[in-house]
Amino acid sequence: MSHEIVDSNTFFGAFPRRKLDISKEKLFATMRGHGVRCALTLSTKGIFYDYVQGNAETLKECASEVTLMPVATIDPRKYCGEEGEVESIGKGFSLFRLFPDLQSWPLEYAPFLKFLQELNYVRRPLMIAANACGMATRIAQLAKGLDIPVILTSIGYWTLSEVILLMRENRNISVETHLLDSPDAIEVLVREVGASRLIFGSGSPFTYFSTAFLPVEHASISEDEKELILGGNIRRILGGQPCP
Amino acid sequence: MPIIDAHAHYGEWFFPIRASSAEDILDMFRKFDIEKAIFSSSKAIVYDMSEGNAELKSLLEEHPQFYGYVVANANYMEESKEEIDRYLGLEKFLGLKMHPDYSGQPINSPASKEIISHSARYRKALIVHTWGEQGVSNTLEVAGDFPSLNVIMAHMGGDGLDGAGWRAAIRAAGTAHNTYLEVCGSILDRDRIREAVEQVGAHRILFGSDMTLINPAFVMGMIVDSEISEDDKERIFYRNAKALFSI
Repeated sequence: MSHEIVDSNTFFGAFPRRKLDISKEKLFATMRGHGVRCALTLSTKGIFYDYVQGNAETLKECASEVTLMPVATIDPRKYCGEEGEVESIGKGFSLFRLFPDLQSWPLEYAPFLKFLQELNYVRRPLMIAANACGMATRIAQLAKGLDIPVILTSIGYWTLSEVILLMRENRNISVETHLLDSPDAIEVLVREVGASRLIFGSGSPFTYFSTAFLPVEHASISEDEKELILGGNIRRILGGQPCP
Repeated sequence: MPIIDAHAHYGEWFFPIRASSAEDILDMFRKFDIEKAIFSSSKAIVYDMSEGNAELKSLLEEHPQFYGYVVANANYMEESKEEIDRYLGLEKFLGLKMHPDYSGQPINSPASKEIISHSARYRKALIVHTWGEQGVSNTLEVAGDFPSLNVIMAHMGGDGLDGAGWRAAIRAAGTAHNTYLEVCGSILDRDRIREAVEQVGAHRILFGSDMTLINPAFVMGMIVDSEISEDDKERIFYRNAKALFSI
């Protein structure tokens, strides 16, 4: 059974740390090659250089490509909590994504705390990396009481027990799948918290699409559950925004 | 395309992984067309070498498609030599596994080298958890000291966004022709397999999954998507291990 895939975790732009083609063309080739219907994406300029310019580039590139859905970002190392800035940035974007892993800032960090308050005000979902033990716990504590969906990325076998526990206790937390690498991670999460809490993402073109896709495709879960993970859940979180 | 998995584990992990029994492993064999796999005991690596190796031997006796690596721990010199002499002469044990991160003993430490030297008489492969540039450098030194030994760099130097570990492993394998790159990991940067094929050759790359810690499908996806020929993929998935281990 083929599923309509929405890839919630993609990038385009440049990468300074080694020679790697992560151009928009490369992203498109990956999407075409694997039958991805549409992708949530952002320019890496907003991660590695300047979030204002990066967000502008993301909007511009996505405006001309109906299969790309723009994702906004801010860099707390630059964000000073100007009143209304998050609301202003959020126009045209349906989701914000933050990168404490790539930008090396702590979660106990005034700009991040202010951003969370602002994000709650504008009611946009948050996708954020929680790649090390304890990060997800702290994010859940900081997001307690906020009325927004929180999608944790970069969860692997080393943080799986932590997120299972947190997801049981926090209905607004979901997990993006690209690093769910243990043999039965998908099955364990579906059993423990339900398929409606898993959001497919690949990390393309940084990583291999099939590395993320094959564990979902081969998981011993129902086709309906795969449908949710591969696209249904992120559509619901984004308010049913249509893919073309 | 059938698969020989050159890096697998048997035993429990301190993570919420339920698929760790022999029956779970056989399910993965069926699901992913894995014909044979070479296991080391997770218990032997992270806790008790002797208990783990003994449990693995029992498993291998029950399953013709399962092979093993005997685990040695350089903190236990005499015991490691006994483990090697107990198992490495057996047909189902195809090599020696050493894990410098868990033992805290670098693979190029005098103790590690003494154990490797002791195992050399059995003319079987050495597989080393090889992580980061320092880990690669250490394994490369051992490969140089034991030129008749086939040395497998498990994880091919490891992961990291800048690729420093795996790129070091590729460079190292380019200089030491008795080394093999085994591919598994959790963060599988794009291009690592293509670069390895271009710089080392597909004939010295081995598929390993790290099951039951990592899903074979996760690592298979990297080979499937790599921009290399189908013939090279078949070598990596199957033919190289078949030739190296004569299985």
